[in-house]
Amino acid sequence: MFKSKAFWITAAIVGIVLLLGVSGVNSQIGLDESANEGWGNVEASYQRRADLIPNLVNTVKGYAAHEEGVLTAVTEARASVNDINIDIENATAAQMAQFQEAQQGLSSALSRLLVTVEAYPDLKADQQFLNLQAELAGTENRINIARRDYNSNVKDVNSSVRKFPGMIWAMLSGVDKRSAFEADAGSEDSPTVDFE
Amino acid sequence: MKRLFLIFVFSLAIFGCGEGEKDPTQEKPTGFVNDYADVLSDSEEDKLESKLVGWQKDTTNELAVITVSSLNGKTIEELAVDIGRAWEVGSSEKDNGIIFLIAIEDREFRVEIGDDLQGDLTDGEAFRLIDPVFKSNFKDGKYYEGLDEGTDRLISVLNGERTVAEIAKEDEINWVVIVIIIVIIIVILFLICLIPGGSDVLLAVGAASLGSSGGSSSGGGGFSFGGGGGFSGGGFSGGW
Repeated sequence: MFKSKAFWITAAIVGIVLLLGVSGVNSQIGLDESANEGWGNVEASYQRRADLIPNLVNTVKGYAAHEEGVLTAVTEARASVNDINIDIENATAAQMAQFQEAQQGLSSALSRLLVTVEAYPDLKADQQFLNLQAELAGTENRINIARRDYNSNVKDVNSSVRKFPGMIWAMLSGVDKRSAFEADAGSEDSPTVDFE
Repeated sequence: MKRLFLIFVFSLAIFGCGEGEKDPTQEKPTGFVNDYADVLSDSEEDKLESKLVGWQKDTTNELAVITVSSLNGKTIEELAVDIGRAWEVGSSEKDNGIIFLIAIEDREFRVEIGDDLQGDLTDGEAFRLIDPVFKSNFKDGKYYEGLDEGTDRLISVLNGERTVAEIAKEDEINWVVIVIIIVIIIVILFLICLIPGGSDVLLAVGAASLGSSGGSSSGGGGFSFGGGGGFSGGGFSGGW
């Protein structure tokens, strides 16, 4: 049987398929790993924003204590953001939307705060506040970049998992389709922090 | 025949117009300074370039200066990160690149700080350090002056020669000092003119101080950044 041509041809084909499969599975896992890394950056940048908030709220309180409504809204939105835990590898589109909605809630609470602040020239001249504003703007930008990067990771993973032959490797690698960020409602409106 | 020629000329003209804006991420950098909007003179470019080359040699930090005339639909934050990654600004071991991007027609600028430098210079510090310099100079179209002073400040802070707080304080007292100096100079000039023959001395000093300075140009060859490219959106943006 080892002498038959058919055996060797079959063996060669199986060998090639195996090799392709191994590299296919490996590269798919690699894509999945970079997507996890990308998600790590998304979470870190959102966390960075959440960490700025107590300081921001305190600074604003020093000048505009009676703007309680806006201030509690921010604090509450921050708390609800912290409550959300998402298992990104198995997150459904609905869970993703929920995560996004909570973060969006914090974004709009923050932009309302920044609008309110316009009425307090002393606060706007406060060095500490200016600094926080710059940090906040930087953080919003980091969030945008991290989200954009994650979406491009997701695109790589999804197109690999859905196309042939990647769909076959996916059964072995266990890599699944992922959900990307949708553009926010009332789009591209990370609270614009204007330095004028 | 004449008509054909006219069509040819017209199509050339149309192509000439369309060529306008380049996408920097698709271009190869020609050095640390890439003046696509052409707002710097050759000698100004050389001066900036040699300063940045020197800093790179001392510290391995790479600071890229890019001017574009318009953003072509991207946000300035995205474009800055995309350029930094495409050109791999910064050394490959450390993500120590910095990008100064100016969009002339949009009247916006962005300072993008590489991942490993963000510990040394937070967004808020970068803002306090560079925003006043860029804003005040760019308003008057003084792009070189803004970039020159902006790079100086950044370099001295990252070299540990001065702190952001010191420089910010200087900004506050600067105008007071300037007024005092001007008053003193006027008084001195006035006093000198009172002395017999004093005005002749002034003329001689004035003539002597009119020196000239030349610029040097750096050699050509393929330029490339150090292979870093670690940018995640740190820094700040502003407009004028």
